[in-house]
Amino acid sequence: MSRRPVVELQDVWKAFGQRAPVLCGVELRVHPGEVVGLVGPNGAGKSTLLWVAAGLLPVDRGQVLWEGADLRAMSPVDRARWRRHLGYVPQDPFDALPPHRTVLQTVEEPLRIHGIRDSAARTERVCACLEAVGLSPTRFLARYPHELSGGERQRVALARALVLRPRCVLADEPTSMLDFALQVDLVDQIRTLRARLGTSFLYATHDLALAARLCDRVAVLSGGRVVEQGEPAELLREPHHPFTAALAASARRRLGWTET
Amino acid sequence: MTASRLWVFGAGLWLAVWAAVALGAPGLAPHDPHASVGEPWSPPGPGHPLGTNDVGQDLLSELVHGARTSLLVGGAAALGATGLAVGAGLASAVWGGLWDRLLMRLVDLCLVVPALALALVVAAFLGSGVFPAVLLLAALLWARGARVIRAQALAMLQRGWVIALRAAGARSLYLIRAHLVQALWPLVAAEFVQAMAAALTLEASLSFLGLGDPTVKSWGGMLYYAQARGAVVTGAWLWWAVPPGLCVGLTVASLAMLGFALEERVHPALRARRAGPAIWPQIPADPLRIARGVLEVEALTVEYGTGPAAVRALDGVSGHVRPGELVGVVGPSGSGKSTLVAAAMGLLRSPARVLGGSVCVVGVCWGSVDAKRARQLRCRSIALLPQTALHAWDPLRPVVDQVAEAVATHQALSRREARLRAQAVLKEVGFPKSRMGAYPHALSGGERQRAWLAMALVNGPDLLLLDEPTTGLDVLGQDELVRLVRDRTRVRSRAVVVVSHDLPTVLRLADRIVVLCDGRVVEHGPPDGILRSPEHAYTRRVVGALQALRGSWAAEVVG
Repeated sequence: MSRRPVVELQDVWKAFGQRAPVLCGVELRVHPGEVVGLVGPNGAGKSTLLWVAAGLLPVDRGQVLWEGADLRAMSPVDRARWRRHLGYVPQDPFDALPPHRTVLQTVEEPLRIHGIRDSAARTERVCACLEAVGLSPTRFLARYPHELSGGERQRVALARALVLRPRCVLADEPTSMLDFALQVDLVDQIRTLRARLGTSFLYATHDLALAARLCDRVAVLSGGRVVEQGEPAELLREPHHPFTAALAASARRRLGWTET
Repeated sequence: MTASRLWVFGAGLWLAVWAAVALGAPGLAPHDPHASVGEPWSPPGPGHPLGTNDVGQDLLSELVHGARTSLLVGGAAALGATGLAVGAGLASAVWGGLWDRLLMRLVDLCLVVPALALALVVAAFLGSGVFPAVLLLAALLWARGARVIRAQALAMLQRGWVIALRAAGARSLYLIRAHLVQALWPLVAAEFVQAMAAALTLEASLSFLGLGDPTVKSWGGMLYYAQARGAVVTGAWLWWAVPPGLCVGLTVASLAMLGFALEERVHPALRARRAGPAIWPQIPADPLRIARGVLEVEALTVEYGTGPAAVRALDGVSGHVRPGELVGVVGPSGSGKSTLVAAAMGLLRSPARVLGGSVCVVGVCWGSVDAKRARQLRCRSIALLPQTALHAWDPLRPVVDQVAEAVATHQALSRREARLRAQAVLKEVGFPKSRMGAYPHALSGGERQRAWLAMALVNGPDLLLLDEPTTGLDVLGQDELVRLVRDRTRVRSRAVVVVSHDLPTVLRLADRIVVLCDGRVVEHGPPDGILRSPEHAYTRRVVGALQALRGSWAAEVVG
């Protein structure tokens, strides 16, 4: 890739208090327009890695770079301003939206934060985003989260992450709590969006099968380290790390091919 | 109106009346409370409904003017305390670090120092008067609220949507202004009410101890004079001490009542506890009936709520599970799966209403047994692996003890025997031997899931019910669980039902699949048949999703 990575982690270490470190020297790059899968089991440090990448947690050692700029060298104001290029989709659909706000208010909030005062312009952007994620604005704008299904909530959360036309969206297992059919739906939606908008995604999941459908590149995270990365096809055909092999075997059995 | 609502209404009315009295005191009081207008020590009579005190001042007028001081001091102190609590709690939660440590040590300090003793000392310094009293009470009462608000704000900052906003560039002040204050509002209101009750009590205590302003009438001051001038020994206490005492007591009680009501609104979980078990329609006992299976569901119809707002969760669902079978129930969220699980366990609670049908476990129907027999059934005949299995543990005891307790509760075994049985079953489900004595927090998700499975199986139920067993597990954990259920459960349990929205898991497990959609059974059959020719729209959609994943996987691997 010729252009600088949108988000880059160099030798990142992170521990909480005196406990064993959650991230031990993570190296990861997300290039413009690329969908990177972050695959690992529960407790591998996926969420921590995303928080670090979003600049929400300071690192103990190493660097986080946004388009080549070291986060620690940026002033808080610059950081807040740069965040217009970042979107974040949380894991739990029932926790993803503020309960006391309508869909319109929720999705337009990042625009407000970044000082776009013209409410007609905001609404227009919100409508475009809702349509992009497959929700009809006329039906959904005035609804509250409790009137939405889990899948609809995650779509609204995705629309909120996209409303600033960010360069990179960080998604923390957004499908893991959804109905199986909805998981595949949402992943397909993200594929379409990437093709249309050119947004890069860092997509955390524990399911290699889903990652294989969505991602250009997959990084396997185990014990706070990226133990292997590559194109999904490569990883599935000949996994080098035993852990990747185990994930691939589980995913294969889940799809119902080998039953032992 | 329910009894408790009536109480809350009464409390609100009492407070409203006294607030009005305090506001209109100069007009409402029959006399000037500072003037001697009658015979000293006169009992209640036509001119003086509450009698007079030792210098002939009208006690009713004193009570009315006293309300002013007491409510003003209480209200203002509570306002100050709540303001301090909100400011300190939010600052501490949002900025953390040094701020947090400083403020929380200050809170600890305020909470450990005995309030009344400190108040006595400070009041002696500040002198009497309304303003010093307000300051003093606010400074004494903010700490508890600050701690509560900090805890709640910290929890809110961990919510997914708050993290999403922070990632998108929301600064701390914005979050406080736009979200935290609004979301914490009910909690703040409850804190205010509780602080006011405490302030009223303290104010009355201080006045009673003689630290009030002698030139201002207050309820606590009346009590002080009643005591100091000997009303308690003369019998005048009945009209001098009792009315202000009652006013203080009832006002504090009313505030507390209102506080509880507000708290219930903030934490709906406190309200839900009152729900009772749902009533089952009576079905005539049929002694000749022969059970066809371990679980029989007949034309079950369940609604939530009543009237036009009623939601039908199950609509004439029928089906049964034969011994030795492993049945899967698949459906999207909202299809009635959870209601079906609750009904099978006999755990439906209001507002759920059973409109018709029956559920029988090994031939015994829910609704026809008493609570004790129901508990026995729930353990010996049907056992549940709940959706919350990863979290539903007592954190203070090793899991092996908790499994052993499940044995001891239902079987006449010694502690030792129960423990041995628990260990045997834990071993059977592949729980590592070295972890037997571990506490729940030290276990991984997969280990906790295994331990729950052991708990459910330990009494050898006829039917094991698994409610969304893969929730919260990663693919490795899911894989393990599937193998565990397929290979190990049948030893202890005669039949298994898996309820899940995850079609791939159910396909791997079940001998027979039931598809539930909008509260109805829309399709059922063997996994192969469902996979080959799905009929209902929902089934076609999930099967299509699975085929799509398989397709893209194959394309990737083949290249």
